[in-house]
Amino acid sequence: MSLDEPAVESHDAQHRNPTPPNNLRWILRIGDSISVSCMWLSGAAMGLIILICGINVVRRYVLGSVWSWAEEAMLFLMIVVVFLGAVTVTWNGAHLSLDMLVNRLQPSFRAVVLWLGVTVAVITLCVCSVVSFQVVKLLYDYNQKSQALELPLWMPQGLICLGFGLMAAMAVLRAVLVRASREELPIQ
Amino acid sequence: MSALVLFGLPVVLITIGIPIFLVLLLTSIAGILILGVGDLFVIHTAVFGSLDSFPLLAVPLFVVAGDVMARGGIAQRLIELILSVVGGVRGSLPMATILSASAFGAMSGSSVACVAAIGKLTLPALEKNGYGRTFGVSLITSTGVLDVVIPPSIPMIIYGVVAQQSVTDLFLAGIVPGLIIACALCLYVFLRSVWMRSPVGGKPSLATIIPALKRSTWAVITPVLILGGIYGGAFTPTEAAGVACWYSILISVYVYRELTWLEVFRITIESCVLVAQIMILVAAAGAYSWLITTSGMPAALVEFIKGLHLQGWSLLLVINFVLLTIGSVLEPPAAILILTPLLTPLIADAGINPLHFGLVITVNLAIGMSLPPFGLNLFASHALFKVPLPTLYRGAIPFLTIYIAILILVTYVPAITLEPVRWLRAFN
Repeated sequence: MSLDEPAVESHDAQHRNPTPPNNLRWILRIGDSISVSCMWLSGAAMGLIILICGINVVRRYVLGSVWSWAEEAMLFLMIVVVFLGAVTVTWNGAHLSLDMLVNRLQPSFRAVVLWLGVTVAVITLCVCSVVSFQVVKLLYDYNQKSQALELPLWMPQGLICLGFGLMAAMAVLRAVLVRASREELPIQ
Repeated sequence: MSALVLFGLPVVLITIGIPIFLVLLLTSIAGILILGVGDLFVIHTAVFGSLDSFPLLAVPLFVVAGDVMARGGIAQRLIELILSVVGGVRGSLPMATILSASAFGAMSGSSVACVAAIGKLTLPALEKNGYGRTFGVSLITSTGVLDVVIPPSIPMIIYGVVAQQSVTDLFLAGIVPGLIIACALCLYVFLRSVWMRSPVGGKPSLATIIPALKRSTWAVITPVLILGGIYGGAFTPTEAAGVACWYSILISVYVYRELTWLEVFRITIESCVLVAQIMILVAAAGAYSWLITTSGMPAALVEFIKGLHLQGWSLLLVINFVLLTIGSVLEPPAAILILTPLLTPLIADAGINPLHFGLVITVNLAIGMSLPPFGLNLFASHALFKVPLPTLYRGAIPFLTIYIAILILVTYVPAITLEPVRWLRAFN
């Protein structure tokens, strides 16, 4: 097992992105790079959660005291895991959905439904990202900090904005790839 | 108009294959804009707020722990031990499969992982001993239910967070239903084996049990550590999940030597995909749940149901039907996140204990995963074991009959779920 391999290899073939023509390979490379980076960061955050949780349990039973900031840190790290992990999931088209009915449609209807899905996804994610940005900006302006860690709150909450934005970008890149390769893949 | 936006829109969007977390977000945005019940900022605060919950941290930790156990040799050794102990009676091999799924369920919380791990190890033996591929795969598919019902269970954690119930109490409430399901399945496979004159397995002997026990001592400690720690009050469910992670990693790396630290990190990275798939739903459901509550829909629904003059038992019957149907098309976490804010006011009004209802929801959605035609475990088995879906549908019928009978029992005899909680609370 080598860490040079793609970060996520356990997905079904249907979750692989299509192969675009040569002039659009750069899109695949950009998408893969963002996806792998997010997955690595997400994995590192998950590793830190496991580390902090384990150390805190040991501290409680051995030293009789806990890190008061541990709970807050783990919750912020969970946001990293979820929102960066979700970027990779978007790129792989692996979000939980009910696609059995769509897959039974005629190809022309399916194409319409799939492109409608892409449009809905991009609009929704963009709106969420913009709304999040406004909240994060307020938190930044008022210099709000978390209680235990005293971490500026715009940092963990900014990840939500970043995550939604990157998911929107990945949905667009994936749609372009599908369109260019003219393959009939589910687009999420 | 409210009903159209809150229920009609999500149904249409889910049906056309839009990812469920996007459906929840879009419905929330549409609800806020059309019904004028708040500001769009709420989306962000609700998304952040729904993840800002310590008990919820148990979900990613149990996912990683389950993956490490499945790939680090712990699950395999536990199954080998059970296979060596159970024997000498007709149907001992299918019984060992059921017990293995129960043991796996007591360590992890992922039903599909359970089907994959158990199936890989027991299906060849089932086929070799003349039980047939269809029966073997149907049995393995059906045992996925045990993993969801026997604690620790990810759907129970999510229900506990959404319905504001103690996750430890939910885990306690899940023990007896889980054991009843395991016993009922064992009885069925025994009677079937007698009827079909299946071969009697070799009698267990110390010569096979002792080496298997030696090999699996550390694996046997895993469920004891997790459940004993939670029920004994030593750990919260989140801490128990963290301890399970550490224990399984250290055993897999240093005792069994089946994983390196690099592989552990890789498993952690891969687990993040499943974690993100589940938890992004939790985040989005926070916004949807806020909208449902603010719109006053639960109160209207309570009034509507009151108007029907349904008694408690008939209300539960209707809810069971709805949950089974939805459970067959939606993943349990998604179904719980969407339905719990709507159903908890209803059951509170009908005087049904929310803890008991948590188990009713869990058992329903667990069965839904094996319910034709769309049950997720059926598709997982179809992909893993290459058995045609119609064959799996036929094979699932006897198991589903047993499950429905147990569901009725769990629904209408609350003592099954509530008594262990009362008993252990008194004991502690």
